[in-house]
Amino acid sequence: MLRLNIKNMAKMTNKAVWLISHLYCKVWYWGRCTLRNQSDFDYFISDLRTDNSPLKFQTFFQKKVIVNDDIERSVAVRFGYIQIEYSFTKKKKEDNLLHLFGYDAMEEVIKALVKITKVSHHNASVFSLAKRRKEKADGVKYRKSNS
Amino acid sequence: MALSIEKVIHNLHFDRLFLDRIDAVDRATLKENEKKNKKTKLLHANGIPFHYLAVFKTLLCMREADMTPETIAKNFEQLFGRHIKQSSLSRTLTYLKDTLKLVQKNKNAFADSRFRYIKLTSAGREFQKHLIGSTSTKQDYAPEMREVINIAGRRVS
Repeated sequence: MLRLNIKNMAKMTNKAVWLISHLYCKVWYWGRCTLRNQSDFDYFISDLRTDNSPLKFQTFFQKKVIVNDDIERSVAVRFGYIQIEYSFTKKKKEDNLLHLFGYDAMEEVIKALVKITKVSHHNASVFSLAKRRKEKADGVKYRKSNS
Repeated sequence: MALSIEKVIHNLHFDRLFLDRIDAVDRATLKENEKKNKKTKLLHANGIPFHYLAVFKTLLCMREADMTPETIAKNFEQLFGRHIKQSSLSRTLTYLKDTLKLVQKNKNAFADSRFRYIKLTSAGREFQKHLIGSTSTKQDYAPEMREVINIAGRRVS
């Protein structure tokens, strides 16, 4: 009988923690994100109890930092069997996107065409045949013109 | 061209099967609730969040031994170029576990790392075969898809 009561109490406590944590996080989210018009906070509340393997914790409260890097800080907090995971975004990642649609294709074509035109108008490196004639056997350098 | 079309079909087929899974869960819940005379709320009546699919695809690209929330988040960022927060990842994994039953996981962040796991269910492994385009998978929707695909003005059927 006593055991049943303890079980019921645990369930009641769990439900109360569940409700309070939802309420608390909602207010937190509203204050931090909705009022400031930003989205740098996120939370997820889960119940750790499982039907197959009932968990037992030695303490009622536990806190653990899951991730803490340049971009994000994520913390998991446990009250009884209720786990709250909350994350803050620290800063936005640097822009290293491939801008597939950020440029005008026609513009690129025009640029390439202009470049080709410029190249074709460079001074032509013509091979001057007149300067490279071989000398004849009689010593005459160039054939005399018939005209 | 023919090979590219096959890739498109594999990709579309995977997405179609994912949507089918959601539909199947919806129908099962509807039936269950009809027996209990309960009203049922449809899943994703306004569209499915893309990150559910993206996280699942990330999982399918990994070995089970490497499937920790931290590694999944890192791989997600490398694959899709967008950061996913741990809380959001937990929510998505819980959805994939509880609702679609495609993964199994121990969601306790305070448990010893030996007892924290994420792994694919048999249905999840079936999805993996579809994603990698394994020849052993049966593509039931492929004929319908070939009817629709019309790239470069010609049908591929």
